[in-house]
Order: sequence, then C-alpha cells, then structure tokens
Amino acid sequence: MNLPDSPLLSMLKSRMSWLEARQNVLSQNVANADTPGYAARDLKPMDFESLVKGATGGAFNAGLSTTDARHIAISPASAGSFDESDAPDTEANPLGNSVSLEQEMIKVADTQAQFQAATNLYSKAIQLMRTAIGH
Amino acid sequence: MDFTQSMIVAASGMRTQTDRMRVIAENIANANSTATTAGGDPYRRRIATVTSSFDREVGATLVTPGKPAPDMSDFRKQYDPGNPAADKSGYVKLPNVNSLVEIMDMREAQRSYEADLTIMDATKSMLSRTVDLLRR
Repeated sequence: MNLPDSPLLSMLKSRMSWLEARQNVLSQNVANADTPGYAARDLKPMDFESLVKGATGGAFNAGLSTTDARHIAISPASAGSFDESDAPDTEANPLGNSVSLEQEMIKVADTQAQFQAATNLYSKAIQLMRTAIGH
Repeated sequence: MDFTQSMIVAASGMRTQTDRMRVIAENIANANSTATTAGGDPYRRRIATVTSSFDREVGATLVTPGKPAPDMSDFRKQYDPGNPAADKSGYVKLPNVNSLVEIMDMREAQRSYEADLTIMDATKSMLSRTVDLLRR
C-alpha cells in the first residue's frame, strides 16, 4: 500500500486542500470588501459521504482511472476543484457590496481552527503508523 | 500554491487601502487650500476608487486602486474681502472637503486594512502548520 494513498491520509489531504481553497475565497472577499458591486462568495460545504466514497475508491471516485501501466493516476483530491457559490453575508449596501468583515473574520477563524485540527490528525495518523512498525 | 495566492490577494487589498489612505491624506492636508488667483477655484476633493479584476496569473480576483475621481459637489463660500483669492463681491471659495467625512473614510480604510492583515496572519499560521508536518 502506498502510504499517502491510505484512506485516512488522503481524506485529511482533501480536507486540507478544501480549507486552503476556502481561505483563498475568503481572502478575496476581504480584499474586495470596499469594491462596488462585489458579491461575497464561499465554497460549498464538503460532503462527507462523497469524500468517503472518493477516498475508498467507491462509485463516485472522480479520479482518472488507469487502464495502462504508463497512465498516471490522479486522486480525486488533487483533481478536484471545489464549487464556489455566491454567499452574501449581508444585504448589499448602497454600493452593491455584500461583504461583512465581521462574518468573514468568523469564517477565517473557523477555517484556521479546522485546518489545525486536520494537521493534528495527520500527524497523529503518522504517529499511529510509527507505533505499528515499532519505531 | 493556494496559500501564497491568498496572501497575494490580501496584499493587493492592503495596497489598495494604503492608496486610499493617501488620497484621504491629500484631502485633509488641502482642506484649506484656496486659489492663487482672485475668484479662482480652490482644491477640489478627490475620491479614492476601488476596482476588482480577475488576475489570470494569480488565478484570483485581486483588487486594485482606480484613478481618484474628482468630487463635483459645490465649494464652500466664505465672506473674506481681504483674502487674495476673494472674488469681486468679496467671497472666497473654499475646498469642498468635509473633515468629518474624511475621518470616517479613514476609519473604514483602516478597518479594511486590519481585516486584510488578519487574513495574512491566519494564512501564514496555516502555512507554517503544514510545513511543521515535515518535522515529525
């Protein structure tokens, strides 16, 4: 078994890339907090079920299938781009901008905490494997 | 990498707010600048503009400072016949700068700047956590 492809690690990996992408969207919202006509955006929440199916190679695996030895497999986590949608924080102000800095700060803090949880779980999983190989 | 991308976006926001601050500072500094000729127009207030554009290289919506637009509202008038800038009837035109408005604008710019800074901090800590995974 390829270590980084183990279900737990690849799930954590896709969780981390989702959080990374979300941080990117949030930073765009904050940077454009004073831009006339800008609508706040957010990523669609991560779906646990499809994540599990993707990690375990189930029916909804979005990665490329390899039918030849020379093909390169692409895991769903690296192939996936995440869905963005308009998510207004408040009603648009007279300039047509719907970003609320307070809401964005909450989202950023949440993303940061989730990311911390994911990285901690990742190192715990590595530790578990270390224990298993008696190191 | 996405984290650097987030930081570039936050930096573009900070740059724009700095530019806005500069325009506000110009307005406040020139709040009493009258014309040099009799009956001439004084300093006209300028408004900082903000535009957002999709940057293909970064792959994100960056924000850039636009060209400051002139505020076309009326000038204040004051009766001061001794002033060299006074017109025939003795009135001096004063800039259409309202310091209260400028202070509010400045606060808003400051708040947005701080929000961008928070994003920068959060992104940096997430990035360093990822790098920390290498250490164990």
